Amino acid sequence: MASIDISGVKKVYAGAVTAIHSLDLAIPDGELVVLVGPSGCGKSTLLRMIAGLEAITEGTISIDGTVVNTKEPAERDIAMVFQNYALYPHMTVRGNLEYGLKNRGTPRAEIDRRVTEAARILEIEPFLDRRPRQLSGGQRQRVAMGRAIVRQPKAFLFDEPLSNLDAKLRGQMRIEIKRLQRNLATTSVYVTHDQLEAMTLADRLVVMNGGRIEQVGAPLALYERPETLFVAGFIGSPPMNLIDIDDLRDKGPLALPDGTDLVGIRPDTIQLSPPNGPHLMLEATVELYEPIGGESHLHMRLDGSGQLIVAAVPARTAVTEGGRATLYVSMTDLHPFNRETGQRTD
Amino acid sequence: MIENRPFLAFLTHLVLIIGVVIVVFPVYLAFVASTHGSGDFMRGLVPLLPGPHLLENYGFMLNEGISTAGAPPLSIMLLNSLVMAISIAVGKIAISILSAYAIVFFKFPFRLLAFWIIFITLMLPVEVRIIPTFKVVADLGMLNSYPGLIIPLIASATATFLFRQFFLTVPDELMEAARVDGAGPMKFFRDILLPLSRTNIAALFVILFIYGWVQYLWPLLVTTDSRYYTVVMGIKRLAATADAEPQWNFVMAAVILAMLPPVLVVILMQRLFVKGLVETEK
Amino acid sequence: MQAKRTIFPNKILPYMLLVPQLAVTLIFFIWPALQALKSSFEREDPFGFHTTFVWFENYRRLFIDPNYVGSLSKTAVFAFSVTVLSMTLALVLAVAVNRVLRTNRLYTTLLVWPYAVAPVVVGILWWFMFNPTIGIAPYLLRAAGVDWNHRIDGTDAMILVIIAASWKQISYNFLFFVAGLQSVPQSLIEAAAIDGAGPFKRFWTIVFPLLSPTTFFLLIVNMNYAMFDTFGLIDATTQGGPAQATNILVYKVYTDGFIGLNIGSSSAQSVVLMIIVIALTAIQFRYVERRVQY
Repeated sequence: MASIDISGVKKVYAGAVTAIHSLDLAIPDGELVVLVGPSGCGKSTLLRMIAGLEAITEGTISIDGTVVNTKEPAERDIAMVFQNYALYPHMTVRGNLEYGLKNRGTPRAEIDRRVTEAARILEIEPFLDRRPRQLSGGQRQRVAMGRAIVRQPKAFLFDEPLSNLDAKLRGQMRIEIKRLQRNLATTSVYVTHDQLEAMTLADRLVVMNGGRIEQVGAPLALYERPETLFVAGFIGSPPMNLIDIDDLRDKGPLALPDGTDLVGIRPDTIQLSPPNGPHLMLEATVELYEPIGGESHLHMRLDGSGQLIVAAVPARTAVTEGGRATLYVSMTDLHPFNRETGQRTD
Repeated sequence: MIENRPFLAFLTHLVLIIGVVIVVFPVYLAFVASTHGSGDFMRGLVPLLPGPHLLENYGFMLNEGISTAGAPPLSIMLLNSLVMAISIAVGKIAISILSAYAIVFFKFPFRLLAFWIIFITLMLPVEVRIIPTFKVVADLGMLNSYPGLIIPLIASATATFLFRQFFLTVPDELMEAARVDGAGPMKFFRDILLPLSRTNIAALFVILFIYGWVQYLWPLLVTTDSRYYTVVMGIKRLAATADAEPQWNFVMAAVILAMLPPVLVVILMQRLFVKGLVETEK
Repeated sequence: MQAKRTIFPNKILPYMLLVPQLAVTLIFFIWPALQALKSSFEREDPFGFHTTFVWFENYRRLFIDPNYVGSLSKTAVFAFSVTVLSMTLALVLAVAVNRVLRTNRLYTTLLVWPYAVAPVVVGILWWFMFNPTIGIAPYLLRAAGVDWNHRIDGTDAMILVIIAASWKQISYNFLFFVAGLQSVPQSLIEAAAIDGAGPFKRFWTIVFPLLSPTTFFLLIVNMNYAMFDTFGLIDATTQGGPAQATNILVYKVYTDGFIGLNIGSSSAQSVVLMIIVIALTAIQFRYVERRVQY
């Protein structure tokens, strides 16, 4: 178990393409950090640099206080779970679990003990003598996790480990990973492009874009107070509505900081009845009514600007497609941004 | 098949049966000839049905051979062919898999040059560089020896390409997982890559065994000592004894024996054979 | 050139791994080829004491030598005929095998093994079939009123070696055509059937065009085969005769160099052959890599 310190790390490919711009991040012992962002944002590159699979162009990465820049992956004492699991197809499940330990010269008895223990935790005991291709996707995923657990490493590195599973299994495994990480309290770095997965798993969320960190924080903090337009748009589903400030000036007592030209409104903060306190009032036509189950999404077109806006409302709301709706948004639920800088203004 | 037309089905089978007859008939005739006595080839037409001298002819060829033709017993030549074919197959596979491994899993200066040097072997079959290659082998003192028969033939671009192609399909993550698991390059090669290449190696072995077995020009050049004759080149000497009509029964017994090992390999390992053939040409 | 996303960091190891293959290639391929190139520009005196640099003299002599020019055209006829004959037969058989369901493996087994027969053995087999005194082919031809004598008649001899060489190559072409046919999507055939195309029409309008990558690839491979892999076959049958009628380039390079000991001319011939192989390989890689595709 260990902390991971990333300081001033830069990655330049073939002398030209900069994948990561001087990046700093400190991960304390035992924390589960999720790196999230669109594809090409550098999250996987960063993870692979921590693993030692990718050379570091500039800066240092330390694990447990030791700079590991020049160390081989095996010497860093980390374990990695890959997107396609990367199980050795010609070895049995047991063989897969044992391989890393054998290479390290772990005594036989200790190997057996750890494999048994990991198999018990992950409930893969019945499959120990099977080969990966005889297993289902979910079972393979467990074996891949098992291979990381038996090592008892300083850190777990997860590279989109759930993206090859179907939606239902993904949900289950997400919970298991979280539970496991809580129990083992092993420092973990988890990469995903799925913002829901990121929100639900993370102790701390790192949103990346274009090789830079956009924002770091607890998942809900990021949701409630996105610091940049990118984070505002990336976190949350359906995404935050962004409306030009000029279209709102006559809709209520706006009191936003200077430099604000774009206002963000979360779909779930849009109400159909007037709240207490100062608020905006918007008129719109309902174009599409999308029942989700617990709630419904209303896709509407604002009067005047004609902009599309989405609201998340209680399931059985009395509106009809083609009908009119009056929307209310509390002033405290507005997120002011500057379009040019992409930064929050308050 | 979409429609059921009896005539078409009949035609299909007719075509195939004619094809099989064309392919099999020359060998059938050779087999028949190998079962007759020497006197049966003096006049008229070759016999079309097997005769009673099968064991006698084959036994004679295997154990004694026709010494007037300057060829040793077939058993020795068969053994030489076997040694040559297996060594060529193993040698080609060994050096090709290593060089493909270097080219795919490492980056180093002159990597592209190495690739091209290997590629060029495709364009230089023995037939186009006979004399200078012979000279090199002679200068190295490798005439009339197994190494002389084998080593000059074990460079193979096709095998290297096949392994390269296969290695490129091995997921990157497998190698990364192995590195995280503490395996160095040679350990990864031995523990992961080699076992994964098993079917490719087997398929390639079948093709290369045949390649080694049917070599003719090269053994003809580098062996003058009959102890090193291979069966494929030795047979030619039997068939070409001066102007006299060859002793067809013995020649054909030798022909059948020379064909049998590689043909059996093809028939018994048909699946691997087809895989090897089709994949090396990709 | 393609390599893995991550690579091992070792500096020396890759060279060690390459040494065996590169050593064999340099010693037995590249060096001799350079030697051939060098001596193709030289002339040796009759005693082998002295060589002089003669520029393109060897080549010039080669191309005014009627024997060599004859050999070039014989080779062209031979390679073309073998390619067309064996590919046609193989395609017919492959289409037939692709139509039968249960017995296709049996037929395939019975058709593919000639691949494993050495060219020289193929030569002996057909030489025996065509033996003027006891062979079955002359016997049947005589009965049909054909006067066959490949020991005197150059055309007969050429036909003989073409048949023998094609016979061996059917198996190879057959396998590739079968593989090509199996990769034609069944749904296309069904769609054509629904569009009202009968089996023959379907073949010419759908299947055959889709086979064109295979066909093109095999064209090149067969030319290569006919030109370079048939040495043993010629040696076991006509030995280039009668009167040079079947003296194809590889056979001539051998007889002139190894038996005639004319190093300069033989080397020039080797270089010409190399140029031919290089051209064939280049065409193969250029177009087969990209494939003649849709």
